[in-house]
Amino acid sequence: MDTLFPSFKGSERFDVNMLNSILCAAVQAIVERTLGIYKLEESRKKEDKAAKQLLAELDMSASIQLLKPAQQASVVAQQMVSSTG
Amino acid sequence: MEVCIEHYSKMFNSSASSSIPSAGPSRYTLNNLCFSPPHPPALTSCSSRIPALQSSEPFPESTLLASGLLANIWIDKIKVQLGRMSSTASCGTDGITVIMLRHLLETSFPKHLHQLYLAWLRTGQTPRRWNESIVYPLCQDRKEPYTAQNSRPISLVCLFRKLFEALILPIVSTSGKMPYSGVQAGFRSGYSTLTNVLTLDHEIEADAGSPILFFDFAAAFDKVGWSHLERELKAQDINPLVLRLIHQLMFQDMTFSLIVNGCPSAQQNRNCGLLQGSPLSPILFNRFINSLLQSLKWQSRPSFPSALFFADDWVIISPTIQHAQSLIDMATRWADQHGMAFNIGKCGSLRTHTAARTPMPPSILLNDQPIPFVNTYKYLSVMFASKGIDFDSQSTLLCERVGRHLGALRWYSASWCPRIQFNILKSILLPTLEYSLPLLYGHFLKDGKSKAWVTMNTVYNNCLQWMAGSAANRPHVTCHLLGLLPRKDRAQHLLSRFYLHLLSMDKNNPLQAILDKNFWYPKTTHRIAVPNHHSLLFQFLNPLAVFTPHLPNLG
Repeated sequence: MDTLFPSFKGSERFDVNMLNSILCAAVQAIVERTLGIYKLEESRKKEDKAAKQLLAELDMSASIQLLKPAQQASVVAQQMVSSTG
Repeated sequence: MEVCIEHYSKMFNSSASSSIPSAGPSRYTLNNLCFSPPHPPALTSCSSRIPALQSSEPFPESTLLASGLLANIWIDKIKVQLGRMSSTASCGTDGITVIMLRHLLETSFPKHLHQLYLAWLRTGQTPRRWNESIVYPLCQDRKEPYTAQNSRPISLVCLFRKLFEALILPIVSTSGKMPYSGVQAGFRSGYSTLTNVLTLDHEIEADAGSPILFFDFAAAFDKVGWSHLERELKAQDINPLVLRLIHQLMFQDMTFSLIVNGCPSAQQNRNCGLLQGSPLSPILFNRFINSLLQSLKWQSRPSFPSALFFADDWVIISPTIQHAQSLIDMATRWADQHGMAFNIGKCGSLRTHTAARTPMPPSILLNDQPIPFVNTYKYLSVMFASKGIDFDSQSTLLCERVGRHLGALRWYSASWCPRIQFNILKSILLPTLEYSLPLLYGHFLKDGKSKAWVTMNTVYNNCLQWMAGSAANRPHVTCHLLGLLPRKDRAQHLLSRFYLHLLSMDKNNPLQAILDKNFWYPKTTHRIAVPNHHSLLFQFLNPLAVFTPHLPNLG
């Protein structure tokens, strides 16, 4: 974190947008390095490995994570329509 | 997509310019998220009207200290707040989630974030990126076609901003001389939906004589304009730095990208409305609407509130039609002066007790239109009819909700082990079924043959059977094996908890005055007899009756 985002010194002139972008970029870089990047549409077509892992876990948050994709799928199935159509 | 963009552009812009810009530069995705270009074109129309707030001059240190903001932003608080946030909360345009940040808690990240928050406070400026939001139009009424008009815009903002808002929330809530009206129950401690519902039920049972009037502001949060909010906040003597922050976070250079059927639009400008999904919005709305509440309260009858509010859901209770009409005229004037509009289709006039027995009274007018008469009205997700809470309809409503969940769960839970089903039962099904259960159980204590109670028991048993299998025909035994309380014991438990909530409610809650008038336990050590025909409220007067309902009542 320190390498990616050198410590800010209060006496320096700064721009709030720049500082925000630097910190966001640092967090995103760490996440990319650790978790990698994937394309959503392609990942959805692949086998769901996470669900198998979640099935083996018994805690509450794992159960909710297991339920969420199913709920989202039912919401996504409902398409918004034009009022005139 | 175009229709939806036009609809929301009109809604979010006080002087609507509904032109639809062409799609923006190409986007890329990371972990399921869309990233928009770094800086959208800046708006000038809104901010140019408020030169004092547009200044980028840093505030003097004394103003910063006086605002109290510095005291609320420190590293440990950032960590605690991040721990409190839901791990499943959606991220904003930057794609950063709570789980990502939680993994960085033990690094120097909280220190850097703390430094940035302080830097932003000292300059009195927030990053422009914070004002980009993703708007999901959620379907409002599932019985109607899912159109732009039948949707509610939920805004997703970036997490750094959400965290910042959560940290400054106590200051925004209390800054200045803010006398919150006692009839506002929304988003306040010492109040709840159930205390409001119980108060209204008691008022109806007390038989005010004239109809109970329910009101709905059209797109209440989305219609709040800066000039009106600023006027209210200044009248409340809010700290100027807090005022500037509110302007920057809610109204300066705001843009939104609309997600329609999975497709994001280009960033659109917006210059009015409080973001639904931002932690500050409910508090700001309470402050915005407070002057209306204060004016309605001044005309109240002794010990009876003439209005009850839960954020923008409100109801007028008045002894006479003339008095009710004068309150409505006052509210209409307030709405005109504050850029708000009523959704007359969702307002309702409920005739209660004597009013229901007399010939049809003259219509009460709202903006020269008669408020439609209704036989039932759903207020705060509780069904009301002419005699108060309609317990049968309420239990049917809850059971239908749970039935829909259960139907869906049966489809995709075949491979789940019982422990996962148990978790879902406890976290989704039972909380849905148990909303308003203390009141339903209070009614059951009055009427042991209550149909509502039987209906809810049946659905509770269905939930248990979903979990334990259709052969589990003894719910009492199943409950004990699962470590759950049987239905009646659970209801008793929730009733007792609700009683404790009543003991700790805000002293200005109207229900407090009503209970005090009836000599409930904190006011007397004598046990009060509760005859069956008494109103529901009496079930909550006496701790002995609450905790040991099987004991005979004493005179």
